[in-house]
Order: sequence, then structure tokens, then C-alpha cells
Amino acid sequence: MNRFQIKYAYTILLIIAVSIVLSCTKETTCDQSMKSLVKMGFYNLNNQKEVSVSFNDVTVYGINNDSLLYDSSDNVKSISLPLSQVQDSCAFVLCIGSVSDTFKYVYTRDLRIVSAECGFATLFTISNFETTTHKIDSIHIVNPVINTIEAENIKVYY
Amino acid sequence: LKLKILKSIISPILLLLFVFNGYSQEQRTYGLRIGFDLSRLPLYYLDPKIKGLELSFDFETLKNLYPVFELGSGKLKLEKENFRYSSNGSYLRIGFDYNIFEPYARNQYEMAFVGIRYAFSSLRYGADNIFIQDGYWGDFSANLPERKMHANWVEIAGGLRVELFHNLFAGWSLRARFMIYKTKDVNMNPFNIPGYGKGSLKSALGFNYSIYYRIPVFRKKIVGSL
Repeated sequence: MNRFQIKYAYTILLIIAVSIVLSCTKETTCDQSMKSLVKMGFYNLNNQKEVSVSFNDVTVYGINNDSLLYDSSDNVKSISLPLSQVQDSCAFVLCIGSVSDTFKYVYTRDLRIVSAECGFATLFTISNFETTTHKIDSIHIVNPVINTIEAENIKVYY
Repeated sequence: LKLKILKSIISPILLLLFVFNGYSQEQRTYGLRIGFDLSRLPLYYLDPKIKGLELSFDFETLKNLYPVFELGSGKLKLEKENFRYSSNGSYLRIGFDYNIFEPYARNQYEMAFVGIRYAFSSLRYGADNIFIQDGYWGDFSANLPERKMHANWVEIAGGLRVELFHNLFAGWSLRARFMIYKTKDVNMNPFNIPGYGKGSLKSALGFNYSIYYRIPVFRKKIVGSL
């Protein structure tokens, strides 16, 4: 390279370098769910084999809360419930037909950044789970961490 | 706006056209070269949330070898619908550039170089007015108090530098940055680490464009063929 060539190279490579850097600074929008819901799946144990079951006439609501999360819904295989972000525990009533069970979650809360576009979400970690056994047989906590990724947290056996 | 960016890039290039070719001196000038990073200015016009300043210092010690010291600072303020974020920090880098442009002449300072840096950054950041909507149990708002973090990384640099007038230079470099260590934070990574780039990345690309002035300290005859 002589001095002339280095000046051409200088300019051309500069333009390339600037465009590489500028192409990396795009802004995007939030395109993911920001809800941290606890997901509970319904199962039956048939000869040690786990089978997913669905119920009709399912109603769910939070205790000390007037509005229904599920209102006589049919064909329900699993339910996704919001946990309270202002308390460290909350309880729900789950009615299937005329039989109802009450269960209570105790958990810890922590903030997690999702992205600059989406902001923050609460990450819950279940420390305790209690339920009545009117219709429910038993429960199993599969994943105590509840975040915005939809994965099953609790298996409910009937 | 785009014109402004273009101008700030092009005007040093235009200056190049008026560069006269070489001096008839028999000696090579040595001295501390101070650089001011101009690339922060168009970036500021593009994205006023980020403010930054960078200075660099280098000195030709051995033939083709330039130890470099760079220091800078960066600020970021984000105002989003559901949170507010701010960070403030500074950084330094130490390393050297090696000129690979031949021929090397006693009175010629054009450089095509490769270099390496070790960099350290320290910053404070935090978020407030965090708001999470919940139509069932009630909305939630919180703050994440300001916290301190450190990061260090290595950089591979490559670029070109030309002499505009005697002792005045312009040059750019492209940087590939590789994170070695940063303070872990489960709640939130900083969006921007000053001198590095996006805080969540394990490696990042950087660019700078600087104007340099060399304070002539001494002149020396170069012996041997060049």
C-alpha cells in the first residue's frame, strides 16, 4: 500500500465500519407475555401411569377477590392463576361441579428485568402450598419458580 | 440530523484531500498524542439518552509500537412507560497498537494498526418508577435502589490513522470486545456498560473515530533502511 491507497482504504473502510455499528442499534418493541402465572395441570393416576384429565363446569376465584378467573368453564385441563404481587401469599377456591377445594400459596417475590422494551416482571418462588382434599387427591410441585415463561408449576392429582 | 452526522464524518475526510505529502525533514517526531473521540457526537444526536466522552493517549516507544491509554465516561437515562432507568460510570483501557502499514518512513505517520486492550469499567445504576400491571390482585410499583458494578474485558482493535496536518491526526478503529468478568445482578443487568456496550452481551462490537494532536516532545534520526 502506498500513501494514496491508504487514504482510499481509510475512507471506504470507515464507511463500512460506521454502517456495521449503526446496523446494530435497532430498537424493538415488547412482543412477549409479561404475566407471571402459576400453571396447574390436572392429572389422574391410572396404575401408576399419569394421565391428563379435563373437567367441565370449572370455576376459580381468589379469596378476598370478587371477580372470577374461570367461570363455569368446560374442557379445562389446566388453569393459570395470577399471584398477588402486593402480598407474600394468596389463596384460591377451585370448584369443579359442586365440589370445591381451597388452596393457598406462600411464596417469595423478586423483580426481574425482562428487557428494555418490556420492563420488569415479578418472579415468584413457591415456598409452601397447602390444599384441602375434597376432590383433589394430592399435589406435586414440579417447578416452584414462576416467571413469564409458560411452564407447568404444579400437578394436581384427582 | 442525518446531514449533521454525515458532516461530522466527512469533514475530516475532506481535510485529507488537502494534506500535503510528507515533509523534507530527516527526522521523525515523537511525542504524546492525545485523541478526542468524535464518534460520541453523532451517536448523541442519534440517541440522546446516551452521553459519553472518551480521550486517548499514545506514544510511539519502539518502532511501530504505541502503548495506549484510553479513558472515558458514559451516562444513560431511559424513560419508559413502566420504568425509569439511569446509569453513570467511567472506564479505562490500557494496551498497545502495532502499526502494520509499510513502508515506515521517518516523516510518515499514516498507520494501519492492530491492537489489544485490557479495559475496566465501574458504574452505578438503578431503576425507579417500576410499574407492573395486575388487573386481578392490584398493580404493583417498586424501585430498584442504585447499585454499583464492575466489569472488565479485553478488546481487539484494528483501524487506520492518517496525518491531516503536521501533528494533527484523524483515525478510526473497530473494536471487538470480550467480557471477562462482571458483577452479577439477578434483578437487572445494566443496559449499557460505559466503554463496552450492551450490558447483557458476552461480546460486543465497538467503533470510535478520533481527532488526535501530538505534542512534539523530541525528534530523532532514524537509522538504517526504512
